[in-house]
Amino acid sequence: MPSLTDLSPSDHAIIQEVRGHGALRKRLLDMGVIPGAEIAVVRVAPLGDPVEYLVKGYHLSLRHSEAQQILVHTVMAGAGGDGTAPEKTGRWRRWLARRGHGR
Amino acid sequence: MAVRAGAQPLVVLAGNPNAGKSTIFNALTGARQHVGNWPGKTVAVSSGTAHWNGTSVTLVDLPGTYSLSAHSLEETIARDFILEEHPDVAIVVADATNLERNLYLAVQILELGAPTTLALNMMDAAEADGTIIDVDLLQRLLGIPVTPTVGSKRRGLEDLLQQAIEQATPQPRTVDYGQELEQAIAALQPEIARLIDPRAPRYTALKLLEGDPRIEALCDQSPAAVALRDEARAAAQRIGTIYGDDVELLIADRRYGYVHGLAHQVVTNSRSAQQRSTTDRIDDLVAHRALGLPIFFGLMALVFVLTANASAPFVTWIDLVVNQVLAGWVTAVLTAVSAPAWLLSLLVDGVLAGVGGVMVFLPVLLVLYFCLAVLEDSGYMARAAFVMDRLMHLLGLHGKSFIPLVVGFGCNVPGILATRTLENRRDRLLTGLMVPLMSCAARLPIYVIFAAAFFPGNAALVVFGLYVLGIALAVLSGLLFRRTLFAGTADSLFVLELPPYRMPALHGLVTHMWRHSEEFVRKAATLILLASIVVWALLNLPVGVDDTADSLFGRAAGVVAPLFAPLGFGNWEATGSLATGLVAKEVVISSMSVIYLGDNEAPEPQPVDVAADLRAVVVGFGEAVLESVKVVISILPGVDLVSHDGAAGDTSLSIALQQNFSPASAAAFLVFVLIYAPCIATVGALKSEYGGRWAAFSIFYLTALAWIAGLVAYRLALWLG
Repeated sequence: MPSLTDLSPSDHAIIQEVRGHGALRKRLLDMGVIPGAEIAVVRVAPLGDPVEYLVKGYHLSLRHSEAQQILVHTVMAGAGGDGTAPEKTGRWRRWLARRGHGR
Repeated sequence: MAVRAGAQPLVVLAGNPNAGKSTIFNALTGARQHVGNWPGKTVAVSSGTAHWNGTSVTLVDLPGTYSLSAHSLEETIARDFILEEHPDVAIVVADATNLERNLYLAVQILELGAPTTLALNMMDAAEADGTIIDVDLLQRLLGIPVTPTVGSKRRGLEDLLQQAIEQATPQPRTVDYGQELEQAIAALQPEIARLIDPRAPRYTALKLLEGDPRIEALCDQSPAAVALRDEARAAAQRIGTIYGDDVELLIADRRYGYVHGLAHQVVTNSRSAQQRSTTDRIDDLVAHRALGLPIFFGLMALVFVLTANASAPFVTWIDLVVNQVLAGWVTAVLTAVSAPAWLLSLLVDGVLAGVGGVMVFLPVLLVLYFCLAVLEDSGYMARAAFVMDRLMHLLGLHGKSFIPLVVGFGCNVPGILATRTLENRRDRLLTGLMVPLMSCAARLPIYVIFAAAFFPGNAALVVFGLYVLGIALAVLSGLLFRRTLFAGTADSLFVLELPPYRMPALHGLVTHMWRHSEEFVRKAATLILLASIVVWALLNLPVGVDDTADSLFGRAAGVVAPLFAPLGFGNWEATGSLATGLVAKEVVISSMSVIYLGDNEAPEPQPVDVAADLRAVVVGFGEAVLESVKVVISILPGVDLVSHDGAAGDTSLSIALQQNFSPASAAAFLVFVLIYAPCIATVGALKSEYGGRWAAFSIFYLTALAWIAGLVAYRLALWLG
């Protein structure tokens, strides 16, 4: 099942499962990131991480490592017409992203 | 701090972060508030007194939280405070523009069993969004009083207090968690009331079923309670298998289902979902992929320049008032009554210099806290964290940690105090330990004079290199502390709400600015004053000492000096100057002038003209205001962070330095100055924020690091020739 990190800006999805444990999972659940809730990708931070989402009517930003714990079912692929450029993967961003995956 | 003042009712404010809780707190208590430690705990809570209808109420502002589990310090504080202090009323401040998530916390506070009332805050923003909330219906559905408020405009606050005191009901409606869970709760409750907590058995039962580590720990006290915990675990497991989900998730799901239903019934929204809000449009710019970072750095530069430059004229003015006018008056009065010279010296060079040393921080702090409050209250701080998190996370820190470090370049004291904007204590501490390595403005004159005297061709490069060295050592120290002191502590979560932008209320900004500045002066004043008097005494003892070399200070410096021989400056003059730098770093240069060039001050008392002095004070203040306004305006076209006022002109000192230092020992001295023990005001800030042990650790660590780095610099410089 795809996770939140597989979505692109303006994609909409329904949360299927919140993995992880302890403080992270509890915080996510407490903030309304629960199975069945709708979530949309708003924008990516300048250095590629974190990413801003829209859930339960408010804006929430999550690190890559946090968003990976959230499995989703995409309901609507974004039109990409909101001015947000597709993900660019320069060397610098790839390096940063690798550091992010390490943990 | 006693939480309860006599028989005054105790009212707590709870709510989500950004729900406007502190705005309501500030509006209700005004200046009658202070931050103090909750007795017996190391956590600080803000409390104050509110007056309503002839009665006084003690108001406590609990940390903003989304929930009441034990996974974060803030949540633990909020929960324990309500459970242990039994407030007469808990006011839950809910953001009317985001009712659902705010009610999620409200229903949990109801489960704690405290009499509760709901403030439906930011009603104006909700109305502007086209949101209409049926307050009466919400009141009936929740079973508690609900008051619409606009904290920033002080609307509805009188009603809120009245409702809170008169009508809060202890028997509200509760969430139905479904048959299985409700049965398990009912089975656990009587035993919990008997063994663990008689006041909030339902809440405790829920937490035991969730497997909350802190509540489970409460069960360790008796075998019966351990059996109870095992029973709860078994029940949780059984329910988990029935639903195919864990209890933690089930409870969150049920609770969200309940508040979603509530919100659905009471909220009517006329605005279409397609419409983009002002916040969206600001974020398109501020969090833009290409522009986000430049905008952030621009704002940081602005805060930095404002803190350093806009406050500078007032610093000069305070110096005029304390060290010239007041010192002149004291001198005149004491001379008139023929007081002994030592008393005059103690008052002028010890006490007044110490008072001045504290007071000059006040303008800097006022400006800094004002800027930070604007960033925080407007909602930009969350965007700063969003933009910077990627970089700061490499150090295991949160995006917000960048701000205290930048502020530290102006002055370490506000830098350390700015760590308060971080939510997690580990992050605050880790950042606070890195701040002293940011070269503050007071160290700059030392760099400039030495660089001009020893490296005339490369002076700018040397100064720049020292700044970079400080940053590099801060990063390395951060990584080191993270692996050692804080090994095993997990990096704080990022999970961050980006709240809608709001226009900060001036009243709130001013309250924030005063409260924090006053707090620093109160906490650090004694330490700074004491240190000034001790240094004065050391310099002037034994009685009648004339040459600094013969004073206790000179002798002590002579004893310590050999320690610095490996660094190339093992003489009492250099060591002594460094020691005076502990009062304030820029004092190193004035000490060196006194030591190398001799005291050329004229001790003759000047005739005092009170009227002229007062005129100078008033005119000086007016000029400071004008100057400050000019600085603020001149920021707009270009930014010049470094001012070299009167630094290079000190030629006689340069010659004296060249006779006493070699280029290599000068380099080692500069590196040592960059790193060694922070000034007494910074130590005061470290102590007030993190406690004496961490302040002591910082002094020791930095001095040791300075010695090692100084040695490396000296050897390297000798080797390079």
